[in-house]
Amino acid sequence: MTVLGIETSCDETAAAVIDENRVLSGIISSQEIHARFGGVVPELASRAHIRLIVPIVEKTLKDADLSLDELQGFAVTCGPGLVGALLVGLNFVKGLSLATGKPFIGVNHIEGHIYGNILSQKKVEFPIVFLIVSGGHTQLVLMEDHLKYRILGKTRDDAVGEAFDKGAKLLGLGYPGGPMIDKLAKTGDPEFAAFPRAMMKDDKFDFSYSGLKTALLVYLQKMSEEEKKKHLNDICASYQKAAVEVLVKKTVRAAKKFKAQRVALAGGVAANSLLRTWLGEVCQKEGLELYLPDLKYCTDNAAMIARAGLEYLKRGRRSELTLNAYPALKLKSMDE
Amino acid sequence: MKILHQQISRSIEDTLKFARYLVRILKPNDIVLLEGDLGSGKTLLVKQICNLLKTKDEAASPSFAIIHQYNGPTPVNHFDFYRLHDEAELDQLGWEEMLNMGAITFIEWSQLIEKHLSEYYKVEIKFQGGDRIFVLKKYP
Repeated sequence: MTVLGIETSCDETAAAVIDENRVLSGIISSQEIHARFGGVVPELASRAHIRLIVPIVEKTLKDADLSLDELQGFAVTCGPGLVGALLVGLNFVKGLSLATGKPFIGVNHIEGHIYGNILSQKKVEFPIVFLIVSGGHTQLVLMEDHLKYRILGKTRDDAVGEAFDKGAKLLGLGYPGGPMIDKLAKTGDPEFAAFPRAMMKDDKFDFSYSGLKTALLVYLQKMSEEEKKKHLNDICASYQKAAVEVLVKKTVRAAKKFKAQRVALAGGVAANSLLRTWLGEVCQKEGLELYLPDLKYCTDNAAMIARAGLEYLKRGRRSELTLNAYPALKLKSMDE
Repeated sequence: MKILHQQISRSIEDTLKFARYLVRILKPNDIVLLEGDLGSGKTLLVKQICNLLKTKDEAASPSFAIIHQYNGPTPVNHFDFYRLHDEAELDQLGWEEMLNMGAITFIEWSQLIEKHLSEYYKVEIKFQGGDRIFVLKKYP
């Protein structure tokens, strides 16, 4: 089954064509369109999505060497995200569906991230404990089967990616902050400063990251500019370790509690090198299998939306033309 | 501008006291701008207010999604314009329509829109030593 996926929930305009678990083509605006149109795509603008969606879809189909008639269906992100941005993709896909008579399905962006990981694997078995970590989300999910999820916990305030971005801002680093901190931390001492590990002893699977950010602020307020500069890498390493340790420990704890033999990462922060290696080490020690997503499927992309949509379309599911965009859409199982 | 209230906060309990004060005076369709550095506790204050107002959804940072809406007996809008850098980015969000639909609206990083508002409250959170000072102002 070949499916065209479209993702416009936030900053990126993206399209991809997949055939089962194989990506035939895929374009993400920030990667390729800058060169074609010149200049920078504004960080947020549904107008940018409107301007970009037609050329991106055309090129994606061309790269896959397929016409609309050769596709079996469409998948599009319908939430969570910015409502104006979501509506661009959703209405575009409704138009395609109406014009071609082929089905379309609305997909949850978080579910897309999960399938971005599955897209990276040759074969998956269930149940899997999924850690979904990005700029807007931090969630632990027990995936019992395809399209079947149980939310185990989520962040109660800031997402972990937000803690990285805002921490980087406090440290005077650029955007996006996660990759910057990750890079500097490699040559820093993670034991240099003691930052809090929030809710670590709590046997629930929720997270909290706003206290970590405040702890960094208070810590920096007591330091001279000279000291800050000298120990920048050490502070980055200590901050990153505090953020990642809670993720690793809670994920493994969840796998044990729910007797899942497999653990998986998804979302932009899944690209963090400490998270990948640390979780890898602990999984090996505990005899758990770790599914890591390819780096290209960690950040927002449309292949993951197409891949999730494919599971629904294969089961004969389709959305109605009345489907709306939901900025605060929660992850749910099929038929829930 | 009038200063309505000032409070020093040394703990989460002190912040909760300030949240209780706000809940007593705020009415549906009121707008409250929240001003303070990263990590000063703006989101925490909104979270406490949402708990007091018994909203159905728990408040969390809207920095990424920009707009959160929490349903409940008194609904709450929670905007965060941290990621916006240009006024032109504001017009696609639909935030103006949400201001007069019966919810109390809290806005973090509101620099870009303050001049477009006529009547609103502002909470300033400042650090003094290890303490935080909350100042509530009413405009105009």
